[in-house]
Amino acid sequence: MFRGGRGGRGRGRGGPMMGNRREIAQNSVPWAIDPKDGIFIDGKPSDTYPVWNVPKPPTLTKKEEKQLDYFLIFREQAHDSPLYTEPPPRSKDSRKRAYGQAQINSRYADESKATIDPFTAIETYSKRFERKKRTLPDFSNLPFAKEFFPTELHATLDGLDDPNADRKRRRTGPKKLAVSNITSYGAGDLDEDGDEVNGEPDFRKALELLDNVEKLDGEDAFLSGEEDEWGNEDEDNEDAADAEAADQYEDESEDDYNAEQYFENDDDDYGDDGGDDGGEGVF
Amino acid sequence: MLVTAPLAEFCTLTIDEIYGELPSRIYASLLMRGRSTIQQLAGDTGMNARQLRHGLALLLQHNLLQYHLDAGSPHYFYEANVEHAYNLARTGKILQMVEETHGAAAKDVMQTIILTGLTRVGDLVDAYQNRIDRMNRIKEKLKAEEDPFGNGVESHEVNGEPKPKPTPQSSKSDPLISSIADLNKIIYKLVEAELLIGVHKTSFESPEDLLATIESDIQKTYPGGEVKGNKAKAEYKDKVAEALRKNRSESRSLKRKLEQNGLSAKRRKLFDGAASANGTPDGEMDLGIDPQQVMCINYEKCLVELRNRRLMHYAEEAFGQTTSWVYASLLNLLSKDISRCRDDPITDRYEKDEEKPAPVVVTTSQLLDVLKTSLDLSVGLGQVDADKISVTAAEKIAELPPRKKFFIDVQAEADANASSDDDDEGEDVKPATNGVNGVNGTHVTNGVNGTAKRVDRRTQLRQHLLLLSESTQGFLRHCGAEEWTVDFVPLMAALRQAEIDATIENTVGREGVRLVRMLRAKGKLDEKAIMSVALMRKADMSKKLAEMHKYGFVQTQEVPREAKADVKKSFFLWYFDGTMALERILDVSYKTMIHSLQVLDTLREKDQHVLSLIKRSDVKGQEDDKLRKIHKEKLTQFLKLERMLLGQIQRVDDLVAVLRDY
Repeated sequence: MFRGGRGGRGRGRGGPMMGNRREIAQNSVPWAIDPKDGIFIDGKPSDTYPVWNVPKPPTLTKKEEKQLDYFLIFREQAHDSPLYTEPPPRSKDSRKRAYGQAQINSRYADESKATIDPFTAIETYSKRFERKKRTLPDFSNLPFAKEFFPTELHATLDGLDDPNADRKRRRTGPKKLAVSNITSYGAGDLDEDGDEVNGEPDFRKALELLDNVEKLDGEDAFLSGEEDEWGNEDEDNEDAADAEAADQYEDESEDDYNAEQYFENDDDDYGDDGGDDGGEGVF
Repeated sequence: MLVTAPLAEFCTLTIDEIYGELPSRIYASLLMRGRSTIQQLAGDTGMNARQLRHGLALLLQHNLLQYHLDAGSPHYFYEANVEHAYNLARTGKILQMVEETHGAAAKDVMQTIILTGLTRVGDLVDAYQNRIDRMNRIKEKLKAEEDPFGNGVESHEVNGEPKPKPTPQSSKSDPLISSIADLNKIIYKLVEAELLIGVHKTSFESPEDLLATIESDIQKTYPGGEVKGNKAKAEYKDKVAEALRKNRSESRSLKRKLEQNGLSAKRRKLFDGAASANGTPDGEMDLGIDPQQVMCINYEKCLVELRNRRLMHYAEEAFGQTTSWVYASLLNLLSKDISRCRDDPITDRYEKDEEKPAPVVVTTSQLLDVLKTSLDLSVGLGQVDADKISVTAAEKIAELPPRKKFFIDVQAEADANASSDDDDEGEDVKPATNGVNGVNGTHVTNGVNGTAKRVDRRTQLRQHLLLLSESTQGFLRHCGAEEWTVDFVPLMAALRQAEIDATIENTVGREGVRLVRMLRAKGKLDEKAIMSVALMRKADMSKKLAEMHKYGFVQTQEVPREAKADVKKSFFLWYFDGTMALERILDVSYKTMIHSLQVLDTLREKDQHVLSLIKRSDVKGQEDDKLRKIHKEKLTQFLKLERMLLGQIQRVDDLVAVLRDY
């Protein structure tokens, strides 16, 4: 039997243990080490990996913080632009290592009706508030210096690069450049410092709010009357959401039911979430 | 710029981060395959032509592509512009720099222009006009809201609105452009500083295409289309260089036009005064620029400005703040005439030395004029007895830039000294040099401590300048009586070397740097020879060398003893190759940046539900009210991590800039 060590326990000579040397290690191992000999087994598991001193970078200086703020705001503005294309959510497999161009391409092509997540794909009310995802940049409302572009891209820049363009309502509105209103990134309201990045938040909110109202009423209507309403809204910022919601409704009624739209899908290979080119072209 | 795989990937990820997936996919393919047509891209990426056209147009609009059309060919070739793509990651730095030098309003305009890409002046003016109108409307509304019955000031206090008085606030925010005249002024300023340049016909030709076109044009002028003979060849090269320079200067035509219109800095100041006095209408500032003119950001000049900042920091490390401020103003003056950090070997080739443009020079008086009077020049200088000064040595005028060899010798000497002093790394030049240099004020007669001597400002300034020009790093050259210039090439080489040494020290420790310096000074050495120079135990030394070899800081060369190469008998020589070390460090830097972006992407995926929540239009701007506590915590955590990762990228980019761009 291998229980030879048991006898040792009875002798009561264990005494106070030192450090991490554990009783079990001392007494119950089968090869019976006698504490008299002064040999102890260290019960601690050995280190699998050497201690690695992860170097920690010093915190950012004020100047670096500022540079970072500016970069983040710039990125946020870029994401807000009609030229930003947001990818549809990809399945986890797309992160796997790819060998060759074909496999890389297939990463981006896996989005189809068959792969839609049935739990989130159903339209819900709150979907109205989600940001419209674009799979192609929208050039139709921006001015371009076309003389510097290759001729083969001119139609695209005019917003006419669409196989169904002639049958559809052409959405070439007035081509105007806009200055972005975004002046903060992340949760501006969460941290107190965030607001001070570039001026005061109230003003920005007022601008954004104004956007909403203008969308709602059209510029002229807004200018001509209903000042009281505007005043109320400004007082209470929470109404912004209502305005937005109303905006959504407004759009819908404006657009009416357009049967053609439902059958003429766009050519986006990105997927079938379809109507990115659909009725509401308000950006 | 050598485009390696990691650099290509970093550029692609940066574009993905800022402009989205579609352009980044096209860009990746362009980097991978080189120049391609739409058809080739379609075959490669599997996208349809419509997507490609959209993506290419987007990339071109942001100046990230070059294209070329061969005469008679129906297909355009597109090529990636890696410099611009990389510089996207520097946007934050550039904006901060613009704000520092030209004010917050200029930063706002710059940001809009970077965001838009190629911008027509007329469109920009319209956009700002639009915003100004809207701001005015809001202001009116707020005013109307404040005292609906015209009650005057008391009413808003009575109302006790939840938010603090809006009117004073909005007027505070107005430093951002409040009229078109302001905008015009800012555009002038930025164009004058060359931070904005005009886009012209050949802006989108890649350098290679441009060179090929120019070369073939010039070849046609030779009989038979062939350049024969040495003399003709040299002449031909000269002609090519001149044509290239002419083409390059076209982008500055916008600036020239401005200057011709007489709106140079001086006149504008006068103009400003008049405008503020008489309340000149907006239209009057609108003189110089054609509204059809298209502008974009000039990254080359931005890099020059960023380099100035880096050099100022370098001088600060060596001599302290006051001297570095003096140096910064001097660099500002100098860089008005410097358009790019590095000369192009073909374009900036001159047949004879006399034709070379003279190096830009700043005189002491010029510098004295621009220095702020609030800057106390007496700070940061040591005092030494007059008899310990060699006036001739201190005031020595070096008319010619240091030759390369000379520079290396000085370095080598310094290194040799440092190494023989065992532990003294030669880094603490600060106290020694300061003391010696402080001397330069020859007018200072006695150094009674404590008594403030009356030294005029000019002398103090000269002391700072002499201090800088005496440094081993070669900050400044006293190139004529009261004239100063900076030799950027050797100076940047010194800075690059310092950065490489710092990196090596952080990676393998001080002994490593010591060995590297020795190898740099002595060239290729056998292990035994290193041992005798380094005074190290063999085991320690071999271990260190092997470690550095692993990181690519030192290289070995095998030299056989006999004709029959026997490994056991051959010598192994260790040596330090600056270029290889530099490239290795760059490579690791790119990979670090890629890694940061990838980690960021993974984090984003992890917190996707929270992030999609804050993008919702009903939540945006009121996260505090609408988010749950657990979501808020997650969001804060994510934002913190994101800042850390992007901050890391910026830091690494500082290193990359020094090693590659400046």
